[in-house]
Amino acid sequence: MNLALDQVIRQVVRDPEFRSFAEEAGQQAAARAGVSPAELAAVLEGDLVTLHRGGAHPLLIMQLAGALGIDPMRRFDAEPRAHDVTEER
Amino acid sequence: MGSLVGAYATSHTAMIIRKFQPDNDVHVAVHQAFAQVRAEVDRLSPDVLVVVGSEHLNSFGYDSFPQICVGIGETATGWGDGGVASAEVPLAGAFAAQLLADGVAAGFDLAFSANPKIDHAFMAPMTLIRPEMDIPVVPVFQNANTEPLPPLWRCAQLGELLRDVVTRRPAAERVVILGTGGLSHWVGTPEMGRINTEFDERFLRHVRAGDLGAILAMTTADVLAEAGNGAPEIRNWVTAIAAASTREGGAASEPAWAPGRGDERRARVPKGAVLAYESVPEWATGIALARLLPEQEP
Repeated sequence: MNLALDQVIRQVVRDPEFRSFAEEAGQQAAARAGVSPAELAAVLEGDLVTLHRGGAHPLLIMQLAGALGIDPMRRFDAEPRAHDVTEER
Repeated sequence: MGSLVGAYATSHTAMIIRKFQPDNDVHVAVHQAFAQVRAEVDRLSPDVLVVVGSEHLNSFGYDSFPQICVGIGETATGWGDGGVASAEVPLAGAFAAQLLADGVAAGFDLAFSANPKIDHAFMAPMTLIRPEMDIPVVPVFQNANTEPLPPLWRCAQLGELLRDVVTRRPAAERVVILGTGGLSHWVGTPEMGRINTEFDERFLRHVRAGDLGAILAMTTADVLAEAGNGAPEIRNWVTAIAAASTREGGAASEPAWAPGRGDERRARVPKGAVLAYESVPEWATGIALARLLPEQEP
């Protein structure tokens, strides 16, 4: 759990005022949220890979994807599997 | 006393609805299985539908996060998330209040949420099983996605609690329990889209055999590694299976399931009927539906 990162993701998703503030004054918003400017930028850009690597909660990643209109599977460069790994053995 | 007339377990991904392709035979097979459950529930004519689901950080955030939470009050309202239409659903307030009171008295530190909002974990299967939204529900939120998770034996004990509460309800009250979630799926990670059919089929073998002990022997770490971060939702299947079980032996006050005790001699676990299993890559989930009670089609 990355508490600060998760909280800011949730805030970006649910609070349009905070999102606007974050987009206009990233340094200030990041400081207020307790995350780095780079982390906040990743949230605003929908950089799901970076957020995943940063330990963001996967469900919040999904909510962010929904809020930003991102296809999470495409962003993770994943494709629907017609079969699973076990069938390749 | 009330009657537990039915118990079912189904997957709950919103993609069953949002990404349904009517010209896809696999999708149609899943929808037909839900239609079968719909018809059976209609024939069972329940007064109350208890839905045990795991929500997705929609209803609860880190400011207050319950392990197990009972929805109480008069209504539950869908979030409208994931492409599943919102609806206001009547809530079986009397049953919910008794569940909360009896649960706390029995040693469950249950939380409650008044007139809760419920996400696709509840609304997706409910939309498919009872689109009329006219059967009063009791939503029971069980944490399956934010560690630490309740251990599977505790989820089984929740099922026993539900079964016991039903027996203390008014004689004419007919109850159906529905556990939702799973099976294998990865959410919000680079492994999204992966499905582990071997895990799913092994899990369903245990369901068919009524071997709840084998399921309880799974560790959270193993389930996560094998079947993805969405797979711990199988704990809601565990709750439904345990609710459908009958106690055999042991003191009435002593739960059949406890740490290290997958002792089925204390409970008769029904052999579940798997109504459908499909690996659905478009929905990124191993989709399953099962009837746990009655053992024959109603």
